[in-house]
Amino acid sequence: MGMWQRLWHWFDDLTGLGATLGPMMTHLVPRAKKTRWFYVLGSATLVVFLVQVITGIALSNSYVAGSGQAYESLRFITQNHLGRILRGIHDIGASAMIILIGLHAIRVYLMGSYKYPRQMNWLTGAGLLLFTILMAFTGQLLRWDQNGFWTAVVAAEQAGKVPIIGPWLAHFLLAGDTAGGATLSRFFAARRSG
Amino acid sequence: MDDSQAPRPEFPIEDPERRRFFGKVGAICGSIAGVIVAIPAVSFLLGLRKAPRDWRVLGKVEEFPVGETKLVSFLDPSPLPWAGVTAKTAAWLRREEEQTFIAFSINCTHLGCPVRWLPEADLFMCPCHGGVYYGDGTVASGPPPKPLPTYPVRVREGNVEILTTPLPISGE
Repeated sequence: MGMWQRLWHWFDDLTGLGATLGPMMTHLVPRAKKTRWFYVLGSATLVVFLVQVITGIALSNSYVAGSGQAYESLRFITQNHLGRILRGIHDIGASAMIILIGLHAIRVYLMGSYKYPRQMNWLTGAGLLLFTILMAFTGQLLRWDQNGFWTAVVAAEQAGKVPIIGPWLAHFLLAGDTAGGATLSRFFAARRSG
Repeated sequence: MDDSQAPRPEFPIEDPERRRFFGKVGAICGSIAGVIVAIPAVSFLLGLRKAPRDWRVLGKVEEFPVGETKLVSFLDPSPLPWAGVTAKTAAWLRREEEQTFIAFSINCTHLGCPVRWLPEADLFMCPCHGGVYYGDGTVASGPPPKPLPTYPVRVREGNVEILTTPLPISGE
C-alpha cells in the first residue's frame, strides 16, 4: 500500500467519509442513449451555484451593506478591472442558475423522474427553487441603485397583499414604516441567513 | 465498517421513574432558557422604527407657482444616521390656490413604484406596469386599485409644511 493510500485509509477510518459518500457516488443511473446530455442540467446548476458562492464571497469582501454606502462600494468594485469581471460572472451566474433550474425541472417532469421512489427529490427541488429565487431577488436588491431600492418597495407592497397579516409583513420586510436605512440591512441579513 | 451488527451493550436503568422526572426537568429548564433568549431577539427584530409623524418644511409659499405640480423631497419620518440618500422621501406638491396645497404620494397604489407627473398631459404615470392617474389622483387606467394617497399639507409662517407618513401599503 502506497503512502497516499494509507493516508486515505487513515482519514476514511476516522471520518467514515467513504461510507457516507460512497453509495451516492456509485449509485447506478439509467443507461441514457440519445438523452444523456439532458442529465447534466442538475449538476450544471450545482456548478453554477458553486461559482456563485465563490464570486459572492469575493464580492462581499468589498461590499458595504449600509444604505448610505452600498452603491458607492459597488462603484468601487466595478472600477477595479477584476472586480468588474467578478461582478459580471456573479450577475450572469444568477441568471444562468435560474435558467438551468427551469430546464432541469422541465427535464425531470418530462422524463417522469419525480415518480416513486423519488417524490422527495421533487419536493426538495421545489424548496431549492424557492431558495434560488429568493437569493436572486435579494441579490438584485443589494445593488441599492434605483432598481434595487424600488425592488424593496415593490417587495413590501406585494407582501402587503397577503390577507390579514399583509401590512405587518410589509412593515417587517422594510424593517420600519418607510424604505430607508434599516431596509437594506434587513434584506442583507435575510440573504446571509439563507 | 458496519456498526449495526455489533452487539449493543446493555445499560440497566436502575430507577426509570427518576430518569423520567429529570427528563422533564431538563425539558422545562431548556424551554425557559430558550424563551429568555427568544424574547429580546424576536422583539428587537419586530419592533424597529415606528415612524413618528412630524411636520417638515418644504419651502416658502412663493417658491410654488399656482397651478403647478412640483416634486418635493424631504426627510423621512425616521431617518437613520447611515441611511444616506434613502433618508429622504418625496411627494408631488401642487399649489391649487393662493393658500391651498395638495400633496400626492409618489408611490403608485399598484406596487409602490414612483409615479411621474407629466404636465403636458395632466397625468401621473407609473413606469412599472402602466398605471395612469388624473391630475386629482383618481385612476385613469392600468392596474392601480385606488387613487393616489394624499398627504396632509399646511401653511405656517409663510412656509409650506408636509406631515411625514409611512409608506402607503395599499393591500388588496
